[in-house]
Amino acid sequence: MAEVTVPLPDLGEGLIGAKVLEWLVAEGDWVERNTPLVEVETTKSAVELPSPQSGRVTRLHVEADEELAVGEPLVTFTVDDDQAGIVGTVPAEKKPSRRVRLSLPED
Amino acid sequence: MSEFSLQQALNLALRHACEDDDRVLIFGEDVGRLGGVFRVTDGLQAKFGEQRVFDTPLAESGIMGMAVGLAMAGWRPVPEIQFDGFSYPAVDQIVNQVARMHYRSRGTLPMPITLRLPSFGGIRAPEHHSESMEALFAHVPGLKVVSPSSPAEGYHLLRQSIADPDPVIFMEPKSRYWQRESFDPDAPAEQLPVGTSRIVRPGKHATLIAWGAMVSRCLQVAELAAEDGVELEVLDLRWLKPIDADGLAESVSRTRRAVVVHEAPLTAGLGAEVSTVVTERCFDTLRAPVQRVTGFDVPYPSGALEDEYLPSIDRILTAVQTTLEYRRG
Amino acid sequence: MFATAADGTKLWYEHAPGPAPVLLLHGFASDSRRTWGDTGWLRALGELGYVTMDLRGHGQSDKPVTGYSPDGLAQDAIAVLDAAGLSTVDVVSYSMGGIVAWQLAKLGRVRRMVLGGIGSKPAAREDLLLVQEKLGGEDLSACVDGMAGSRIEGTAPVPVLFAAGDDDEFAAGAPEPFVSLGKRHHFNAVSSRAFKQAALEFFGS
Repeated sequence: MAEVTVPLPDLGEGLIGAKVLEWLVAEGDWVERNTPLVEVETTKSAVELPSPQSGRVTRLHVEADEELAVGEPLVTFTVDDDQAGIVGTVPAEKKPSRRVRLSLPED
Repeated sequence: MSEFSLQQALNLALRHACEDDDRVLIFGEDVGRLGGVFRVTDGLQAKFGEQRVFDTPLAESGIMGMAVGLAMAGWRPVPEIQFDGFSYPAVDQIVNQVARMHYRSRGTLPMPITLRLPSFGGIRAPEHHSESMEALFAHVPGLKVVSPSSPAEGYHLLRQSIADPDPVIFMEPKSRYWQRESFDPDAPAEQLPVGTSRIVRPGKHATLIAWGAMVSRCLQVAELAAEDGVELEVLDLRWLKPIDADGLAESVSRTRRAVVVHEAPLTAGLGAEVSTVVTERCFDTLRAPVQRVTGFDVPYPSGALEDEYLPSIDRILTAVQTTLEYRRG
Repeated sequence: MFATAADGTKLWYEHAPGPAPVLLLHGFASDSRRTWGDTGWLRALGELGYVTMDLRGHGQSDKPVTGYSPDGLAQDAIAVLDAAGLSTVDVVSYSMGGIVAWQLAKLGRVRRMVLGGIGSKPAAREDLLLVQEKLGGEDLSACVDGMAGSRIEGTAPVPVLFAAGDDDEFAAGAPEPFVSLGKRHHFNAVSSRAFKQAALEFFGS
């Protein structure tokens, strides 16, 4: 088993931090990738962050109503060894979608 | 048959290589006690001891210099450089020593080194962690370059690279580390010679040529194209040097259209080489100029922009449509 | 994808098919991505399916200078529903989107609706300007002119549920049936889990 700490991601629009509104998981919970993890509030809106990976929540680094900056630790997971990566995130498996359609030439 | 992720398949290949050949040595940053940042060397130090699987200082030039010395002394070094972008400081050793020693010594000092290099993008990593260096290494005489596209390919190509008498740059597509696949590593390998490509999906209207993580992207594209009645062939190039000119020509001479897809920037990327080989060999049968779908001529962007940079399904489909519509003037 | 309104305005929408798709109508000076995507609503709706759209003047839709009235925006929603091939749908709205939903219900295209962040008082011009200042973005004066003074009026044409944070002054005096979203204000209530659960339960009933 290994520990993986997830920082507050860059929320775009030049935002440099956020306030935790509500945790949607608790320490000890098993969380699947892409399930709702936490609601945070920025200066512009509220955002629900999905979990970037599966694992058991071992530590919530900030309490509700506390603020943190982008890049500061948000949550620590204990994960299976083959899920651990120290840099980057495990890519989500998305159903392929497209806008472009093909048409065969007549000949 | 068992199911393996690419990480586990590579781990198994290293395990079997160490078991089969006492001269195989594994070393690099965090590969020993930690088991590698992507867990590829997990458990190997415990099994084979600190003499054969060991951590190095954070000095990539030193890692490759050590590999050269060990190879000269008769070992089979399998160093890891933790991320593609960290190998730039080691390029001096790779180009000036690893690639040339065999020639310089008139064949008396072979360099059976396999450099494992987690490569390419797709995991939202920070700068220096998402480079596509295949064209740079493929350009250096004396190096072989290979990139697996799946767990089974990863297992067999890594075994083959370690067994090869020449230096091999083994580019692991890090966005595919978690991809799972069932295969039997003990089955007599459906071993293709070094420098052979593989058709992973047959088709008749155009050939998509890719390697590493872009192979699975092209398979998705082929699946969607089939809904439109277009049958795309997907060719996994596998070996980027030596390049499989015969395999490319065989496929494109049938489909008569080709699109090459890679993550690296466009200009002087390996797609240019592939395009040239195809054009040289299939000039008379090609129905359209070979199209390239690639990254852009900019440094690899931050994670938030990664999906805009990497060849998307729609960009690949658009290139395919361009070849379908092309008319000679 | 884009649908085309009666006056030619291009309206951006996204349709995820499902057994009971929910139409999502965002509020003033926002867009579907910020109101429904970033907040986890699309995830929460899961297998039901959804249609999310950018109202004219907002997000990726065209920004003409006319067509901003409760009826004009409801007609836009009808253009989107027609493009998606849907007759009647359940609706979740936030803030000004509730006025559009209310009108859309009167026009017969709504089965049930959950209106968040809206009360019974009219959309005041100064409140709209306050929201625009807070959320930023492009000039929306045509929308302010078209929507100021509008409100939800009369008895609900279809089953309805209201939801708002306790500190949401824009939604003060929301009618019953009403679900409190706890100590939230107008700008941080839309992502609330209580809101999502209330809507899913309401539609499930």
